[in-house]
Amino acid sequence: MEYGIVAALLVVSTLLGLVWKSRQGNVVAQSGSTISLDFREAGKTTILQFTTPMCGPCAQLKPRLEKIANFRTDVAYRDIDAVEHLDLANRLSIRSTPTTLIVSPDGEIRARINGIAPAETFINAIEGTIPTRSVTATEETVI
Amino acid sequence: MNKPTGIDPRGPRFGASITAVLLLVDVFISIPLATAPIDTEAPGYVLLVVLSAIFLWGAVGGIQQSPYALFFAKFIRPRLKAPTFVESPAGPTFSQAVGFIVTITGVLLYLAGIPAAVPVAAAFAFVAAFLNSVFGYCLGCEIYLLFAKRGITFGLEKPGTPRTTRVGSDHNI
Repeated sequence: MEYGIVAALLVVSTLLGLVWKSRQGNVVAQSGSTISLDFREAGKTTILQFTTPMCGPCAQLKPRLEKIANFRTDVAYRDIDAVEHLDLANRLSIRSTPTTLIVSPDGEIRARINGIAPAETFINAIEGTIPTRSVTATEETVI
Repeated sequence: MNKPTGIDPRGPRFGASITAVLLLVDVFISIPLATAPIDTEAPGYVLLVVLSAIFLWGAVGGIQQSPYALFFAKFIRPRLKAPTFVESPAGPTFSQAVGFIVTITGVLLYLAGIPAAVPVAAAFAFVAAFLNSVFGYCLGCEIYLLFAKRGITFGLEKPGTPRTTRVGSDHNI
């Protein structure tokens, strides 16, 4: 019986880990939510990364996103400490970090990427050329 | 140039790996305890007490002072390249406290006459340690984030607490 329980525990833990892993880097398309000019750059697509002081992956992701912004004149990068901007994080349902939002030049949130993903994922999200799960403003708070 | 502060994120993950193995062993050897009379000399119970004490050590002294972290710093870290980033010790330290609460609950419930508490507590703690070691998902850090978002940091984010920082690969920290 001990072997069976230990094996079941390993299987359950692995499945939990795989579920979590599969959600990392997922791009969720959004529409209807807008974000104020305080947190984006006017006239540019803004990559808005939510971070926290204790978040290791955030530091890992940041240079990747900065590099995208550096290479493109139409894209800006901003990072926001979710703890310092608690209201904003709560209103946008930021439950974990890093969470990255792609904000259009007119302030509409186009996509949300949870966790770490390759640069291509972010570029495709900016271009709108990646298959995504759609979420409307009814699921996301308009701020 | 100032050396970056913070901890090497591989340290807590190394500690989680050892903890996961020990907890899995504990689950295995403590399953028979669930149907046996209370025995405070049973290996499964004793191992959970030891693991609980190690969690307490890490929670009180900080993750950098846990025995696994000290071993990592002395024997493993010198053989590795510098990490690409260092992180705040607050989340991993809080995780030690969570591990302590889970394991000490198992210990106390066992003493209170609930023999199944030892393997159940060990199993719960194992899942968290396994997720951290294999997938890099720190459950305790996520719980800490929920508190930190409400301004509750348990004194772990004092002024001067290192924040997560990226470091160049050429930094020797």
